[in-house]
Amino acid sequence: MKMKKIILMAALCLPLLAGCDKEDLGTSDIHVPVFDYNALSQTDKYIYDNYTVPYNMDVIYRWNQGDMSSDDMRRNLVPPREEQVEPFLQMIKTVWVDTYASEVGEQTLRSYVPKVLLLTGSASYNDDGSTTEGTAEGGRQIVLYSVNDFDFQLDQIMSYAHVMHHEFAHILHQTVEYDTEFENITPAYSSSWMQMNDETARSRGFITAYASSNANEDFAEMVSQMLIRSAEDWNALVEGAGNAEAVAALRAKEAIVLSYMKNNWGVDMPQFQTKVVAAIQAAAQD
Amino acid sequence: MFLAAVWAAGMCVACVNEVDDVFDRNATQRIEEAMAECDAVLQDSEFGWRFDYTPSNGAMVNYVMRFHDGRVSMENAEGETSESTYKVVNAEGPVLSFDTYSILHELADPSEYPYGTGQGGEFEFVVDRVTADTVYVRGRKSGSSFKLSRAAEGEIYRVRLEASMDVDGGKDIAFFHTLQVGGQDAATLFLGTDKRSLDVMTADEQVQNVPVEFTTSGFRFSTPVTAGGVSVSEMEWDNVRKTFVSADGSALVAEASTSPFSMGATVDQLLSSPYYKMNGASASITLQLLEFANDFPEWQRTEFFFDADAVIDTLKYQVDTQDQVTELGHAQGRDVLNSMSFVVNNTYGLPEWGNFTVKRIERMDADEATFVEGIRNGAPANSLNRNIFCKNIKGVLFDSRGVTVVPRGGMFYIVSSSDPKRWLILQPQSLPQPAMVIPTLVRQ
Repeated sequence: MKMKKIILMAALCLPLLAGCDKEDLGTSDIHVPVFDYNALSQTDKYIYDNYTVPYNMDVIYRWNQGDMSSDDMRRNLVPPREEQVEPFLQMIKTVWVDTYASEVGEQTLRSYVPKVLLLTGSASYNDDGSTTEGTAEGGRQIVLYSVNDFDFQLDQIMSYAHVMHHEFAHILHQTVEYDTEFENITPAYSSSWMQMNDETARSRGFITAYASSNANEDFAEMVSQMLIRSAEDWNALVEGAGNAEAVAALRAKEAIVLSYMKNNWGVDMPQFQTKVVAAIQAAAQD
Repeated sequence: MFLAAVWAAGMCVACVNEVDDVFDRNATQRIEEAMAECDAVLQDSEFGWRFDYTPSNGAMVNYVMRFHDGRVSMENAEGETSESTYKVVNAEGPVLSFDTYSILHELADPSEYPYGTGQGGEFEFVVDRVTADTVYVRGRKSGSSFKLSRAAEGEIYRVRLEASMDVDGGKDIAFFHTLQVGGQDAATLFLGTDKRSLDVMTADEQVQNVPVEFTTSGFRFSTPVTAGGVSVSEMEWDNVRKTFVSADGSALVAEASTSPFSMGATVDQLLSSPYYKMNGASASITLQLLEFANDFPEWQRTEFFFDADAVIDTLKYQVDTQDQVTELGHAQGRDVLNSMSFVVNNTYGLPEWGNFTVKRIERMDADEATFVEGIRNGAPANSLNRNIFCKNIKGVLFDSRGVTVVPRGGMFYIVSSSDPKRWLILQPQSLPQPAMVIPTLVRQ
């Protein structure tokens, strides 16, 4: 008897349950954009041809708050002028992309480049009134600031070349670690690097104040500071460290960087240095 | 059986899909529709949209913007233009994002003074409501509300005419404008109170109110104006000279230090009212007066007296070394108030007159006068001179080149002759009784 009731109940509800299945979910008309090269603006075509196709990189220059880091979101920033984007990216290509591609090959570079370059128009002002030229989030995105102020001055180009080579050095050492002996050369790394100037830092065996913050920054600073200077200027910088101990420390780090780049990436640093410096000079307009 | 029925009833209710949808489409569809509608409305305006925008730390800027296929072209009152990109995106509802640099971004640029914040402008706006003629938006950072209004033909020229000639709204503008023909002032021009006409005063000192219509390149006088021997009808904006020039180039609108023609016996008109309240001066001085009141609460009241016969109370007080105040005497009498004070020092809780008294008004002409700086109680009236706001007011009144008195809209504009971008606005008031209380302090 009890079983009968349940069967009856189940039978009663079946048509209703079936009714539920027929619920109208609505038709989907979510717009899926179709890629159309010819519809791209001149700037977007440049990015597609020079960054996206060869290196699978996206360059974001149109403002989108969601692309900003939380730190940048609280700052006051403005997007770039559209007409500044292409000349700026051409400079980055000259001093960073092309020089690396000629050393390691396009395919290798394509595997390791950060996937997103984000450009902002204004400087990024810090609370102390200083400005930041570039930041990187992991190996994925590099943010470059002050694009609207870019006017092919040598010091600007050196600064951007430094940021790109610095951030890319991080990607390299995150892929293949450098000799742990590097960390032991000047072990006095400190988070209070901001209280030090570069000259003091060099007298303690760090190439810049920022290099003294930790071993990874030290490594990236060694690579990038070396690449944006001629051999002559680089040697003068190292030899001018102020004391023999500091010079020896910088030379020991240099030796590790040279062998690291040669053995792991096939990069001859002195030759690469010459190329980058020539590219920086070529990109500058007086 | 009963239990089963309850259970079945529950099941059935759950199954029957009889709940009415609140919305006829799902959330994604609705937001996409809202964005598409907003973009369609923005693109569907022949003459674009007027956007009166006030950044958090700056003055209002008026733009006219035209939207088309993801690109926006803009103009402002100063004649600056830009073309950049925009998009309507889904962020906090539909957001109108000016996503590459334009003249709007100048207000948000942290590279502009003060560094790090600039003028606190924004370039992303949450769209609250869209009607055929108005798009209501709100700054994404500030939350402040603004609107874009469908522009009429020649809207930017209306903006420019107002920005350069509206003495009650414009900033950093000259009070006087003339129509110059061949480099000579041929007529004095004022913006009409309806802001859609010009008051034109020609050499015969007759004033005519001439309505203007805005065109695709400037404005047109509804009836041609004859001045300096030429007849002027069409005026076009010249972005190099930043002013309106007649279509044949013979006449242009120019700033002037004073009216080339007499405004009439305006000083007499000014003196016919015994008591004035200072409503402000040029916009900047108006603000400064307010700030003045905030920063110096002990200074109270702003009053002017001109040649007024009035009852005067004279009080005599003694202040001892502990700043204790004792009343010594009180006398009342009639006198002519030809002097003026605009602040009252209330340090002792007493209405002690401040300084900046004017002893004499010297006529220069029927419409021009100088106010000669006087003294108070035998001492130079200068204790407020260090104050920047008082300096501004003093700079207008106590200038040896004098002022021009211009009555407009029930107010008297006292325009500095040496700097036509500075003026005070006086509003006639009835005289209070007694007109004046003069306290005399005796310090021991």
